[in-house]
Amino acid sequence: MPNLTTSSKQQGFDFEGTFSVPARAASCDISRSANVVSIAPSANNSGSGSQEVVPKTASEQESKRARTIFLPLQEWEGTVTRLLEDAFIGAMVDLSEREKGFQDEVEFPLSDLPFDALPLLKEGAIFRWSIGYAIVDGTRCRASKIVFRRMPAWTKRELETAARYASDLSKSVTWE
Amino acid sequence: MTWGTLSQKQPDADQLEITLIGPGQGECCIAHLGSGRWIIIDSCRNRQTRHPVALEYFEYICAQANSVILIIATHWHDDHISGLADTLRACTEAKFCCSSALSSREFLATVAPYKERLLFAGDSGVSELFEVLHELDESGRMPIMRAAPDRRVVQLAPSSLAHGYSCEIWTLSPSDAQIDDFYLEIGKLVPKLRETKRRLPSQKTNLLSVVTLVARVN
Repeated sequence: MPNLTTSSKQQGFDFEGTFSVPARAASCDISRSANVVSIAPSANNSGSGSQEVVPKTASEQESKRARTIFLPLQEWEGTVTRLLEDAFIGAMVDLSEREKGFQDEVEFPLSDLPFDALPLLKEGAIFRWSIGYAIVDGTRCRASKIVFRRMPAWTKRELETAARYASDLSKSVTWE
Repeated sequence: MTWGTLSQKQPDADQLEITLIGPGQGECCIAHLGSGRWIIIDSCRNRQTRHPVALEYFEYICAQANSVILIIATHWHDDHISGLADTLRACTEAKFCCSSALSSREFLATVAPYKERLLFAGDSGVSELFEVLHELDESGRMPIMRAAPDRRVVQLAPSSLAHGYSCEIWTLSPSDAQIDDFYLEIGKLVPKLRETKRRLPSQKTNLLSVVTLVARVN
């Protein structure tokens, strides 16, 4: 289980469609080198001046969520391709150019993830990465969000169909 | 990708020419063996047009796709076989060569559940591989040529080539040991009942890679 630092929780990435942001902007520095995009928290984002507003009760949390709106500007669908010690690599498809199907590799620090996303972090897992604006109590700030998809499980019928398909196809293959 | 800097002139009949086209990660290699005989190794697509680059290259230099005599798939990673089925479809006279492990029943059974490309954004190398096998079957171009260590898959006689030399294509891998290791690796990918679906994880190692030798022989 990777260790998440206190500041990582303050990055404000929430899970399953909800979104929370620190009192100050949850902006990221995004730099692109060849096909690899590195994302690091902004210096002004993790300093001592940044304080997260943590709702204490369920009703406060609900109230806070109701006041928070996320407006995505750009979205990617990603597949986890590699797990590193303190990061993971995702093969990302720009959803605005989905039909082209080309992938870029992006390295995400594990500190960008909330604790409850960690069990879903496996090679092959699917997630969506959105960058845009979070509007909290009328204040707009730059923000980024990672949401892992909760996929259905393989069913017996699917596996049997696939096995039949593979068996039929392999019978048609011959070798010189 | 643009073709601006690349010569539009076809290689001369007595020239052996090798052209590498690609984005820097996953390329297509096109070799002219002489007298208008070509081979293609792997495939990728033009990012703008989405067409296989080999076919665009032939169109660019006004060469005929049906003069391709062999297509080799070095391995099954997404970035090396994208557009391979379309290329095979256009190159009607080409034989197909890959490692025997790529169409073994064990391998196909492991990856078949992952072939559904509509599930996620992005291409799937598995879908492309299945499309290639279907195309070979439907167009009556079985059997596949098996890539193995020190195996000659093409031999063109000197009399058939304008440069007067014999031209040979050899595969130098994968070895039996590499194929065994490959089966051990893909064994971990077998989907289990009630296990959460995921995309086929990318393979860290390239155990089935087909090393190819193009040789002009005196």
